Amino acid sequence: MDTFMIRVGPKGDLYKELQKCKYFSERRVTTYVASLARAFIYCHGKHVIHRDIKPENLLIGSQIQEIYRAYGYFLKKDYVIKEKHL
Amino acid sequence: MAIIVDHENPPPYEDDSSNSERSFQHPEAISQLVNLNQTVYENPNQGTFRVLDEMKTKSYSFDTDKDTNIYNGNTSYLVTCTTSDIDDDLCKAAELLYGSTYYGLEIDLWSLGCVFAELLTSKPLFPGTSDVDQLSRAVSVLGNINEETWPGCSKLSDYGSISFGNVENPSGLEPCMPNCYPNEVSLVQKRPTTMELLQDKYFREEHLPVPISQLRVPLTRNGQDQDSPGGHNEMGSDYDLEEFSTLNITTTVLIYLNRSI
Repeated sequence: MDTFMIRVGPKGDLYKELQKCKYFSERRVTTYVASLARAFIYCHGKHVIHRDIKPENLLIGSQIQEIYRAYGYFLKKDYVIKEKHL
Repeated sequence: MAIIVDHENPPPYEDDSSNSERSFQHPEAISQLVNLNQTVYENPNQGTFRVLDEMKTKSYSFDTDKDTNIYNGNTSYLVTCTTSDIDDDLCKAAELLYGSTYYGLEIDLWSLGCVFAELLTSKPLFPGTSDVDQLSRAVSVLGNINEETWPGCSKLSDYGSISFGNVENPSGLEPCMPNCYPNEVSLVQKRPTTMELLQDKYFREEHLPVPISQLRVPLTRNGQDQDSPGGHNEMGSDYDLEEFSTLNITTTVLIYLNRSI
């Protein structure tokens, strides 16, 4: 049994939000992508690859924030990360 | 509150490990990572489809982040694992679709390009029903994948068993991204590192509601309009990584995954 301790965004994931809204404005999309790119700088700087980036795995915070959800494994040198620290 | 996510165990996945010195065999397909001293395939720092770009064929992969990748050109990752929901992932990089177990940071940036296109158009960029179907759609849009356009691709695990008819005239990305501005299509075509991506003029124009340095800063008000957060906080540096450690997420849940490690 593998247990993940993660923090979740209260507004659900990006895929469901897109389905609910039908479409996102350009400003909103740009904000999400820029935030993700900044998150990559952090993760990749620590030699962590997500490997499963897709809208279903991106959570929206109470403000315009995203964190990665548990699906897919983070890989870091020598072991699998069981707890995410974003 | 405890949430139980009961994933059905995927069937065992037989990796081609003939090129690796060590092989990890676990019944439950535990993810393992081995840092190799030499890479058999393309240098991950070069990113995928680099030559495609040089041959004026449109490519849409984002390059790896050179500034933060401390691995040398001969280093890559060996991963032996099974990924759940494998047919559900429409943002997989081409080397993963070819079953490769050697790849680098650039696969996340490939996925980011797919996510960007999907958020703008409300539909997946390559809506394949399987890995092979996704590849065939990518080939018809971007052009053929061969040793001429992508040196080293023939060494990808499943390259020898997947073949497509020759594509004389790839359609390009524009039909895949209708009602998008040329600079948005161009962004998906480009091959930037993560920092180069953020410095693209696209992100410096009026598209962002706040400057990049203010992203993820708590707002002074929590308005309903997600498009106009109206933040006024000032942060000194565009790349102040310190702020990434101050996420203000208030809810924590336990998720039990019915998988063994």
